[in-house]
Amino acid sequence: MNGGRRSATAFWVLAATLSTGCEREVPGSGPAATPARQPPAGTYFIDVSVHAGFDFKHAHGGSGKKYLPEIMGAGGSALDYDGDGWIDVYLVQSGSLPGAGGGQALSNRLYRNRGDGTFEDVTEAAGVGDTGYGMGSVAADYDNDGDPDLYVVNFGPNALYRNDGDGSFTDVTALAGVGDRAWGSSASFFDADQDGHLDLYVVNYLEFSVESHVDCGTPSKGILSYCSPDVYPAAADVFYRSRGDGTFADRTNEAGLTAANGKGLGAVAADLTGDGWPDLYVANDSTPNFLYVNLSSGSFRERGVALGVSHNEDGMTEAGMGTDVGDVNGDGHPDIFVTNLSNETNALYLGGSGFFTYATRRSGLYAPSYLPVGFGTDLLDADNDADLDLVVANGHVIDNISLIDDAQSFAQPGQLFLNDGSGVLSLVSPELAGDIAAPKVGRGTITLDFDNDGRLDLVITENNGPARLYRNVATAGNWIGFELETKGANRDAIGARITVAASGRSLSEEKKAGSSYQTSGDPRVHFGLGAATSAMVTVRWPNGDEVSYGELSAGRYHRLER
Amino acid sequence: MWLAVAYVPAGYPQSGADPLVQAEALIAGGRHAAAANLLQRVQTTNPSARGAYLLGFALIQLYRFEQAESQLRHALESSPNEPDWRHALARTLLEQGKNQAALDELKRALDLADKPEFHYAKAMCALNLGRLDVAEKALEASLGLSPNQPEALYKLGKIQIDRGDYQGGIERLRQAVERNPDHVEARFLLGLAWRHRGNLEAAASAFQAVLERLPGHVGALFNLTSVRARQGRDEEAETLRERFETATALQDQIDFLRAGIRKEPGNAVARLRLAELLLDTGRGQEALEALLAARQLSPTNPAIYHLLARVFALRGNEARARQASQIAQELEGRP
Repeated sequence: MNGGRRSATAFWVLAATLSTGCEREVPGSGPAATPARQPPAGTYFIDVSVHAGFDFKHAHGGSGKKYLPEIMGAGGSALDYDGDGWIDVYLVQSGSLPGAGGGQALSNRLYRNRGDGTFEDVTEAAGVGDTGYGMGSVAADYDNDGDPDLYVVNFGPNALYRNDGDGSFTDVTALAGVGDRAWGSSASFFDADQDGHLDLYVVNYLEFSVESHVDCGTPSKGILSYCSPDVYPAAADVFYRSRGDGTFADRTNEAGLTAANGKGLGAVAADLTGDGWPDLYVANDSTPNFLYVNLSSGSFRERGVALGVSHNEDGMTEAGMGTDVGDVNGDGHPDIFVTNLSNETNALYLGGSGFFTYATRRSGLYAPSYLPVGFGTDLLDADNDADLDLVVANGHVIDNISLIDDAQSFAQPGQLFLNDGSGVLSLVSPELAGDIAAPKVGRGTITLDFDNDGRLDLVITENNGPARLYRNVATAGNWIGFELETKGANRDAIGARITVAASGRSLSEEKKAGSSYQTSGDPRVHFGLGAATSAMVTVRWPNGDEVSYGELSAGRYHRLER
Repeated sequence: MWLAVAYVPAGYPQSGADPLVQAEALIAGGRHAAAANLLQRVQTTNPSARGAYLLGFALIQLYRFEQAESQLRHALESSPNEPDWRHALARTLLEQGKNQAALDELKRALDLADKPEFHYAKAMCALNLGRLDVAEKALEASLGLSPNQPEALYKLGKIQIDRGDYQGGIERLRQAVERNPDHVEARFLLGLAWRHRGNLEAAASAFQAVLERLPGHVGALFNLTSVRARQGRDEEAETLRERFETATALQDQIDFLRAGIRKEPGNAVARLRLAELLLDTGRGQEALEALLAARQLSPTNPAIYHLLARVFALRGNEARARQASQIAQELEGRP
C-alpha cells in the first residue's frame, strides 16, 4: 500500500536553473513490465495488464432494457497522485444504473504505479472510490497546492476529490460547488480567464432517465437496441469558474457557453485561434460540434460553423464522440480530430490562417474510419519520429449490430495510424499495431508513459469489459519530455505551449487537462525527436511569457518551472 | 440502375393471359402489391421457379426482403444458372445488411453473365464493406461494359475523392455531370474537389450550380460559406452562413418526424414529409430510403412517386425518374 506522499526531492535532480525559469531532470526509465511473450519485430503495443496487476473491469449493470447510459462509459485519468514520478491510473466504473432497480454499487479504482512495471490498487486508502454511475474523469491541480486532484463525471451528481498530499483524497464536491447532476460525459480543466485558477467545463450529453426511457430496435420482434441520441433532448453543458479559493461558481451563461442543442460527449481546451487564450472545442453526438472562441476575456463566442469545424465537409452533423488537438501536419497550427459513428468517418480539421480545413480525405483517414465506431482518441508520437500519430479506440453502441449489418461488429479493433510527417496518416496492420488491434468495445484512451522509457503507452477502457494497459515496445526514435509547473498560479501550467526544434523541424504542443473521450492523459508533455539527441526548447507560459530554455538533452523528462 | 431488371415487359394485365405474364405486366406498371397477391395465389396452386422469382422480385419492391430472399432461394434451387435471379437475390441480401453474402451471390452471377448492373451491384456491396479497391474495380468494369452511367461515374469519382485523389475524382465527376447536368451530388463533390485543389472560383461555381437545383443543400451552403470567407467576401459569406443555419434548422423538424415515425411506423404521410425535408437539405440517399418505406405503406399515393421521380433525377437515375413520374401520372388518372 502507498505509505503517503513521498518527498519529491528524493526523485527530482536539479539540473539547471536559468534566469528565466527553472529546469530539472525527472526519473529515467524504470524496470519495464515484463511481457508475457516476445512480440514480433516491429510491433507497437503489447498488453501487459495481467503482469502489471491491472485488473479493472468495467460493468455497465445492463438490465436488458437497453438503457442508453449503459453503453456509453467509461474512461479514466493518468496522474501522479503521490508525486513519486511514476504515473498512476484512475479508472471510472459505472455499476448499477440509478433508477433501474437492483444491482451492486461498484466504485472507481485508483491504481498506483509501483515503478517496477506493476500497479497496486490503492482505492480504499486514497478514498477515491466514487460509487456514482461513472462516465469519465479529469485530473488537474485545481487548488494549486502541487498535487493533482480528480474530478469524476457521472450519470448523476459529479464529484470532486481534492488531493490532500498524503496519499489520500477528500470529497469536496459540495464545498467546491461542482456537483452537477446531469448526465455528464467528459470534462476539461483550463484557465479560461487566465487568472491563475483553473476553471472547469463539464460536457453533458442527454436528458435521460429510466422513466423517460424509450424502447428502440424492433420491440415487436422482441429485439431491443440502444437508442439513437435523437430520441432524447440535449443536456446543457456547465462551466464552473474558479473563485480562487477552492470553490467554483456556475458561470455558463455569463461566459457565453450556451450554444443550444449540444449532445456533448468529448471536449478539449486549447488555443485554437493562436491568440494566446484557451478556446474550447466540444464534440457533440448528432448535433453540430462547438468551437467556443475565447474573446480574450474568459468569455466565449461559438464560431463552429464560421470556422468550419461544426459539421463534416458535406455540411452534415456527425456523431462526435472523442476529440483531441495537436499539430498533425507540422505547420505550427493546432488541428482538431474527432471520432464519429460508423457509416460516417472520423474528422480531421486542419488549422491555419484563421480557418480550419476538413482534411479527412486527404489525410487518408476516410476509408479506415468509415466502418468503425470511434470513441477515445489521442494524437501521440507512437514511434518518436517527430510527428503526431493517431490512436483510436473503437466499439459499437448497438450490441446486436451484427444482426442488422454484417459489415459491423460490436467489438471492434483499435487502430493505430502513423504520420508520414506531412499529415498523411496510414493505418498500421493489426499484426504490427499489436494487442490494441484485438477487438473490444473500446471507449476511452489514456496516453501515458507508465514506465518512463519515453515511449508512450496506452490504457484503453472497454464498456462492460476490462481496461487494458498496453506497453509501447516500438523501435522508436529519441524523445524529450516535460513536466511544467507555474509557481503560485495555474500550477499545472495548463495551456502552456511548448515548442521544440530539432533537426530542422519545429514541433509544438499544448498542455491539456481533459481530452479524448471521458479521459485525461499523462500530465507531462512528450515529443518524439527522431535521430536528434537534443532540442531547442521554448515555452509560452499561460500568462503569455515566452521563455527559451536553450538546448536540452533528449532521452529524459525535464521539469520546467516558472 | 440497381432496380433495372431485364425481364420486365411493358403493358398491363389482360384477362385470360398466362398469370405469370399478367404478373410481369403488373410489375412493369409498378403495381407490385397486386403482382405479389397474384403470384402468391399462383404459387399455391401451380408453383414454378419463374413464379417464385417474380414473386421474390415483387416482394423486393414491397420492402419484404426476408420473404423475397426465401422465394428467390427457392427459385434458384431449381434454376441455379439464372444470373438475373442471383442478382435479385443479392439485392435482398444487401437490403438486409448481409453484404458479404450479397457479394458472394454477385460473384456467382458474374460467372454466369458479364452484365454492367452486376458489377455495379458488386460495387455497392464492396462499398458497404468498406472495400474501396473492390468497389473501384467493379465500377470500372461496369463502365467498361456500359460507359453512359452517370451514377457509376459519380460513385467512381467519389471513391477517388474519398481516397484524396482529387484530380482523378474531378475527371470522373465531370463525365458524370456531362451525362446528367442535374446530378446534384456529382456537382457537389466536384466543388469539394476543386476546393481542395485550391481553385476556389471553380469550387464556388460548382456549389452555386448545386444551389440552383437544391437551394437548401446544406453541403453546398456550408462549403460556399467557407469559400467566400476565404476569398474575403465576408458579407456574402455571412448571408450564406445564415442560409446554412436556416437549412440546418430543418434538422429539428427532421428529428421530430423521426421521433413520430418511431412511435407510428405505419405513417406514410410522415415518411413522405420526412423525405421532402431530407431532400431539401440535400440528403438524397436518406430521402430515397424514407420514400421507399412510404411507398411500401401507401403504394397508390401519387405524391410519393412524384418525389421519387425528383430524387431519382437528382441522383442521376433518369430511367427510374421517368418510371416514377409515369406511375404518379397514372395514379392521378392522367394518361
